[in-house]
Amino acid sequence: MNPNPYAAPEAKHWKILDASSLRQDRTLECDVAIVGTGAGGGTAAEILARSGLRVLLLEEGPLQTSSDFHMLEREAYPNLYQESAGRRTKDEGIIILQGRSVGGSTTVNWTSSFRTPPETLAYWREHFGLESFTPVALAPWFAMMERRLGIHRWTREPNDNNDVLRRGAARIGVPTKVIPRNVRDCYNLGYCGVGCPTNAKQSMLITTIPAALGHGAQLVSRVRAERFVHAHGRVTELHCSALDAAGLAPGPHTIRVRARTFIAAGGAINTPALLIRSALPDPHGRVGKRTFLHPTVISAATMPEEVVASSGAPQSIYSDHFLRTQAIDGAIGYKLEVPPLQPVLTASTFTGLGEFAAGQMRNFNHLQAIIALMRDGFNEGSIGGTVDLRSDGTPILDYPISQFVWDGMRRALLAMAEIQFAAGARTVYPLHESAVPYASWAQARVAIAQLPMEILRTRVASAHVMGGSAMSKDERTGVIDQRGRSHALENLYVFDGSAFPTSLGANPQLSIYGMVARNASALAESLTGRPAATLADADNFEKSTPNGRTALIAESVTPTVL
Amino acid sequence: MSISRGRLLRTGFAGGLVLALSGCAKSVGRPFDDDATAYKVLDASERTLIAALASAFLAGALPTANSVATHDALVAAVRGFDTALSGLPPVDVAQIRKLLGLLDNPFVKPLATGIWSSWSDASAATVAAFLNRWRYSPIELFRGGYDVLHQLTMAGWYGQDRAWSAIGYPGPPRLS
Repeated sequence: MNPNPYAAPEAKHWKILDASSLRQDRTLECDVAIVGTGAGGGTAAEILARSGLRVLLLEEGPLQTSSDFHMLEREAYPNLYQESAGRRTKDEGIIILQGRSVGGSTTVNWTSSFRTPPETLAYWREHFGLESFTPVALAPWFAMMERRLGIHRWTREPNDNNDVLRRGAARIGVPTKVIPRNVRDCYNLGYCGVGCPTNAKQSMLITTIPAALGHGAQLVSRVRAERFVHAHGRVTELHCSALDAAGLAPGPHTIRVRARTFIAAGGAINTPALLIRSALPDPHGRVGKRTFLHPTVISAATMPEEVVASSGAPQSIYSDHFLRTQAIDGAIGYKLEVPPLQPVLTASTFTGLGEFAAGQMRNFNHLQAIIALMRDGFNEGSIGGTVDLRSDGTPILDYPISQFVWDGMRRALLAMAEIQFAAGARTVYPLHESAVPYASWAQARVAIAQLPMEILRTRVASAHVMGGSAMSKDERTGVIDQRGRSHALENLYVFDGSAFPTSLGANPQLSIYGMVARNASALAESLTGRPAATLADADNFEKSTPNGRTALIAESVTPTVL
Repeated sequence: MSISRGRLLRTGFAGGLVLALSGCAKSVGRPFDDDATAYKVLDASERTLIAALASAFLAGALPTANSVATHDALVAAVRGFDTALSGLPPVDVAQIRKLLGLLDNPFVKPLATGIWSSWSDASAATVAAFLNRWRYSPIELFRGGYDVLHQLTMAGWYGQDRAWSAIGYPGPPRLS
């Protein structure tokens, strides 16, 4: 089992504050203030802190570590997820899983790590003027983060839940591949989604954030960034609320943050909401628009053999076949993966009630599920959602699902059922209130073709929130430039998934790591006048930092900044 | 045109109706009995309502060996609902309690649910019939209300160790 960095001796000298314990208002000063500690905030923090800058990290959720992770959904959802894993779109139609603790979604994601697909980058270059987003230019940044986070194709056998996707797809001629994961010494337990108890997952919680803390960064948890105060085209201060003991609502105390540079990295939905509360100058009305979800539909199967989908690496097999059967801007494509099935996630996502629902759950160890993630944002029929504020200033996403997207969802339910029957499923049950378990592909094909595709009938979920503060060369079509800098305020940057101008067509974490590694390095250079620190892999750090002091490792390929 | 639960509760006629009628007598009936100090959110009448809903949502899942076991499980399910609800942001908790208030209002309830008896007197079959009407309703408002109640009830029950033996889930692995 890998050590918990927060229990290590050097952690005693780290500057960590739980804002809910404050007895008075505070003012904090630093060079760079980062709102959010997920994939974007964590990556930026290590690069900036190693480059000699005084970094302050602000996190709305709690600091919880492997000693708090008991593999229990009832603890993890309230502690580690936005809105207790019950965040929904405005019309209640889509359930959104998003992280909310130190490490952000990287603390609870399922470890799938994909570079941004080249066809997505090509679309961005063509439609948003992001010339620097070429596979070749980004490759060294992806490579650096892959080394830093131990990202490699999973070498163990997939669990049976994933194997059904592999087997069934192969039988109908649909190719699948093995997923790269950010793990070291993984125990193959299957509990990535509730916080890794063995520190195998190389989340921001145990990699970049401890490294930043070791280089003098300060971490404040349970603090909500309320708004940037700005004047004359610059942010002057950030106003924050210290949360109450439950960590759900603002308490009596505030924190003011003064910094040279501010980074918004609260993730899609939350970052645009912060910009809206801040009254960011937005002459073209772009803030919060074009928020994407990879809206996802689910097909459940009952297999004759035991599957035990609660156990083993949650995601190890995927197929991009249905992203490639048509042009990127044609009929919507989708990625196929599988979800881990733990009791709460399963029972609350599966449809129906009473004896029917109980019977599904009695099948628990025979259940298998495939998910189809719609690649939204590449067509006029898929313009995403809009972030708005509720009465208390917290965000809500309005995401109407268009006929264009529903069409893809129906095709996906058909494809998943065909794959599951090809793998030997006894029954296949598309998660839809009007569906029943179908006993054959022929029966399922007829029934799925007739299901009413509407919200709150078809189960739709999302674990990937992207966009809303999009990069674009032209300020008429975006909020930030391709280095992540606000078009409106010169010392404000957005370093998170909200920067993407479309969805990705792949699980987002590595796309965020690569983009932010490049943009944070460019920022560090501009602030210090020196080359930015390069991140190396964890083994090299341990060998070369005997006293926990800075030691930069020369890379075989040194990335260059923009 | 579809109406979301949120919009209706925030601005629509039903929210106003609840306010206008608040203070009217609540439904009478044998209340669900449990230690009030075990709850973070739900009050006594809300607990009675959730007990009725949970009996229907979890029919077939709650043990039926004897009445004591059934009652213990139902108490656990209602407490589980309360726990799940208490983890939501205050604005969501307030909205869901407005929904519970509608369901417990003696003037709104018969129209919205088709149930004329008190919640504590309603049979599981009657409650299931009401839940299925909302589940398949052409009006998004009702489908959304159903789905939120479904999610909280299922999460509240299946998050507990006592729910796992019936489904063959052994619980998290032991780390030595």
